[in-house]
Amino acid sequence: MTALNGSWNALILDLKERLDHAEEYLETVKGHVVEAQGEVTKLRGMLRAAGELEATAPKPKQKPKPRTTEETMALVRRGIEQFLHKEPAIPDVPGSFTVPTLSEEIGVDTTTVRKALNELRDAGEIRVAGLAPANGGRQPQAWVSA
Amino acid sequence: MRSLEQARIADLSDREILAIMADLNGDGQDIRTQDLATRILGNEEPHSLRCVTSRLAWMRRYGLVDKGEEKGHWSMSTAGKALRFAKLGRSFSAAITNTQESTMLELAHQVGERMVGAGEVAHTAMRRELTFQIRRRRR
Repeated sequence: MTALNGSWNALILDLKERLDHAEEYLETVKGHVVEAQGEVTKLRGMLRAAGELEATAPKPKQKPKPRTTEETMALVRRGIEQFLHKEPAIPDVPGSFTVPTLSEEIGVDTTTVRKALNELRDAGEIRVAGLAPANGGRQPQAWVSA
Repeated sequence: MRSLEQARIADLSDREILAIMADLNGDGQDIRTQDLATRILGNEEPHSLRCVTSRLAWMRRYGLVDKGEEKGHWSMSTAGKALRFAKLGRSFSAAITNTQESTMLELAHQVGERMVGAGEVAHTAMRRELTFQIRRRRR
């Protein structure tokens, strides 16, 4: 076992030494890359000033991505309809549901469901119904069709 | 939506509060401040009661709710009920939703004209609903 450990220790020592060298080399190369990038930027600037190089047009601004896809919204709407036939999150508010229950019903993550619900609320399709009873822990916000 | 700590216009619109009052008002009785606080904010602590009372007091000024017979009791006013349960026709609603962006200014002008010509309660209710919608989008 001692012999094995001795070989093992030697192996580890060797690897550590090689790691040190490799890291040192990496730092050296990084320095060269930065230097080269600076040189390229400087030369491009000089050639642009001389009119020999076209100025790069600024990238067009990307349109903001829609918050939630139509497909997801349709799925959320169908899921909300299902709650008309289920036990409501708030007993005296038929059709009420919470984000976790809707998320479980339609198999979509809670973050996406929340985004979709905010959009539906903005559109007036659903409204806040209040806080649902909780079995210990925080009471979740409940929603219902408007 | 994170849990609410206040009942400001930015958190809940008048429409939503009236709807919650309607939820609690199943048997036609007046609604207690405590019940509304529990439903909206999850507790009956003094801060929650103050928030709800303050909000309902403003809604009373605007004509949307009335004070109940007992202290701490509230009910929807006739105007509040009418505004809460009124629905736009489907075709009318679709026409607004499908309005071209180029004509939005004209739409805003016509809505504004209608708002100015409306009764005091309806005018204030419209203004506050717009405020709520605008503030939500600022987030």
